[in-house]
Amino acid sequence: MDMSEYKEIFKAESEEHLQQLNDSLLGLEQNPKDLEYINTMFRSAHTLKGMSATMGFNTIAELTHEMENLMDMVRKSQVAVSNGLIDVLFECLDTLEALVETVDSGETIDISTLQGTLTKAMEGTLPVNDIASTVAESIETIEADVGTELEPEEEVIPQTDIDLSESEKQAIATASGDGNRVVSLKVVLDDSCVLKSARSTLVLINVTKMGEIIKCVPDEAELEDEKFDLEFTVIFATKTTDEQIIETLKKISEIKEIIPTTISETAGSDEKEEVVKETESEAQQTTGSGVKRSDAVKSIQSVRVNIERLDNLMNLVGELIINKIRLNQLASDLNAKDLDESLANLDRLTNEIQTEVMESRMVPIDQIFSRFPRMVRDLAKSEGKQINLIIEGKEIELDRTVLDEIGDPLVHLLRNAVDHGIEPEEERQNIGKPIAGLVRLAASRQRNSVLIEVEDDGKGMDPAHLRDVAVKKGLLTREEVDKLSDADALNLIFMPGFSGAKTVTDISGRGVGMDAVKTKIEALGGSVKITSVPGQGSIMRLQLPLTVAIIQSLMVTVSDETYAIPLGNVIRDVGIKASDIKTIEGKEVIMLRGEVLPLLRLHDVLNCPTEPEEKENLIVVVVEKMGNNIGFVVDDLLGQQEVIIKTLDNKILKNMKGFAGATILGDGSVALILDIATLI
Amino acid sequence: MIPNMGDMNKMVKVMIVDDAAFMRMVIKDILTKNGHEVVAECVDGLDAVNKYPQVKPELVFMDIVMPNMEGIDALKKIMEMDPAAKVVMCSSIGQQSVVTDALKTGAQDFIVKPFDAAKVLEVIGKVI
Repeated sequence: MDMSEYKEIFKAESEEHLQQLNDSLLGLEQNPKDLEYINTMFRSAHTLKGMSATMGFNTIAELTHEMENLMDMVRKSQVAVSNGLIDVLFECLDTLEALVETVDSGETIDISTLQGTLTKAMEGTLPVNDIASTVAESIETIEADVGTELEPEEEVIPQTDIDLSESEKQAIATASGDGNRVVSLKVVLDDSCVLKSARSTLVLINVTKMGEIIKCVPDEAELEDEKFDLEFTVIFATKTTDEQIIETLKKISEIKEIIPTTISETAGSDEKEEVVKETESEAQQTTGSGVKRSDAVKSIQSVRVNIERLDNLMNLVGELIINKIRLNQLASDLNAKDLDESLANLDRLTNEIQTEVMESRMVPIDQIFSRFPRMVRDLAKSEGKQINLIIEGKEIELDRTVLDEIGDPLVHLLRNAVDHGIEPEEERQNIGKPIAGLVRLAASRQRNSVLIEVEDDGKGMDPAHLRDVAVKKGLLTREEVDKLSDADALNLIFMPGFSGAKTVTDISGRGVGMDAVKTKIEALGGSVKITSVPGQGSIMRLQLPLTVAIIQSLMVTVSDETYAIPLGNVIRDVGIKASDIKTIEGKEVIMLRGEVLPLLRLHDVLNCPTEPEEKENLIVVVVEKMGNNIGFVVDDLLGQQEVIIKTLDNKILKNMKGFAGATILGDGSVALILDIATLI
Repeated sequence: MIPNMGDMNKMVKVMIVDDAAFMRMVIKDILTKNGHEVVAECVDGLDAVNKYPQVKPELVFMDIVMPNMEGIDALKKIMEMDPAAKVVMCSSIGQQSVVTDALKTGAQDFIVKPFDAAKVLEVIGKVI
């Protein structure tokens, strides 16, 4: 069977189980007595085992099989939950994760060392006994030859190669007296049969339906223990014919041969020995599975769709919208009133499709949040710190593309919080803070964006120290830094080449500075803000757009070129008189509603070649950048429009600051989308 | 080798119970590619017990280890509802005792992961 087509779903589902395993293990570490965590982990490992065996990923199957065994022992209290055990299990999860990642490349990972550790973990205290051997043996044990050869056509004689005890001989006699014949049935299983014991049970169940079992060779306990090769013999009393017996047993799969031989036809005494039923009920008691169910979690009916397909869909919707706009323009150019109603319908439909497609790309932020508890735990452990991580708003949804991009920045911010923010234990104790540091990761939905906060109750940032570092690193002069307000000084950490760490640890020295965080977030159309109180902690606030591919923009013209300003940045537009413009320190400003608004001529900012005409009535678009308002003087306003961002992957344009991308307008022309954050 | 007595050409209405979407997909593909109909897919035992009376499948493939309700418990409930129900347990290596228990409770047969298309079809042929 070709399994390659299942690889994607295998990987996706495996990752979910790995996450579940990680979560449960973290839970178990907090509450070692709560066996529900172990049960959940057992189920996940078990499911992974079945899936990987089906895919032919034998290393994964082997490892999960051993993990399953270990967890089974834990839930039976044969192995205690210790720190050592937790660490071993974490190591297993890491290895599993690596193994799942290699399913594409076909690389191999040697798990023998880990298997050795697992074996040690299992041997730690244990082993009491495995289930099967505790099954009470109510059938008398009799020495018997397993390889009994009975010719199918052979006739009668109660004494077969199998030794029979007195009671069994009696039972045979009794059965014969009741009008039964006694059959010795040899059953040979297929070589490929995996669960031989269960297969033999199925045979015995079916035999019981036809008559009464007198003896099994090997006995039933041994059959259940799988202490036999491929064949076993059942002696039973029945009224059924050989043909019927064969017919019935043939319906069981994985059976190679069924050979019934009649060993007794007549006569008998009155005593009866019912041993079989007893054995069965005993076995039933001891083999029931002891797994408790977790709280009911209603599953969602959903279909897995490759993200690429969603991206394509999004692009197509983009094209559709462009065409819709083009049609609208044509209709108004042609003054074709008849088209109005159909166009209005088209408008509504494309809007709905767009909303649906965007919705379908939204995923809960938990998809990335969920990996942080483990990361923070490991980090805290390696630093010898205690950290309580609080996660809020993990149900908040974000566009998949945005989500993919914010993983690394968040990792960096959390690392900073643990590494630089939270003080060492003694220091916290000395200043009267709780020993365990607090790190809070919270997402919340704002009007048109999502706010993610990373907060710690550590030592905070000292503006004076940051100024010193900036000077020492030669990023700014002493004069320059002294001009900065304390709030602005905090923003120094976003400068390329700035690292706030006094000592570089293996955690912070990863080459991703705060400047990279800022660049990444701003590239997504978001922003980063810091607040920090020395001695009390810091908060990083990431403001992110819900989705990136389509943005509402204000369309403006400058020197006959059209530009799109993302509406998220726009506060309002106002008409002003050129004569009202004043200058402060050589810079143009205007008084607007009692506030000073700095003005910039977009014409100059963009270095447009043509000279703008002198006008008295000017149009100003007020935009917001990091809490400050700035007015852009533009030539004309075209109105509001949703534009599809096409990224500038062209080498030249990519490196140009100030543009978030380009978009295609209704008339087919291209307009650049301004990126206010980098433009000024 | 005993010749297969089941009618392999008959279309069988099957209900699949497995918490792993991956496993459901694998079994489903084996079944549908061979002319059988999957009338329901259930994500756990509870789901199976709820859907069984509605869809009345001719055959149930039942996973054993599942959240909310284990396969063995779902089997018991289904057998109570319909003593003629045909349930095939889907087991992994290392579950002898549970499978044995299930067979004693009334499961018709079992298959062992990893599934082999021929085995799955053989079981259907034999059970139906």
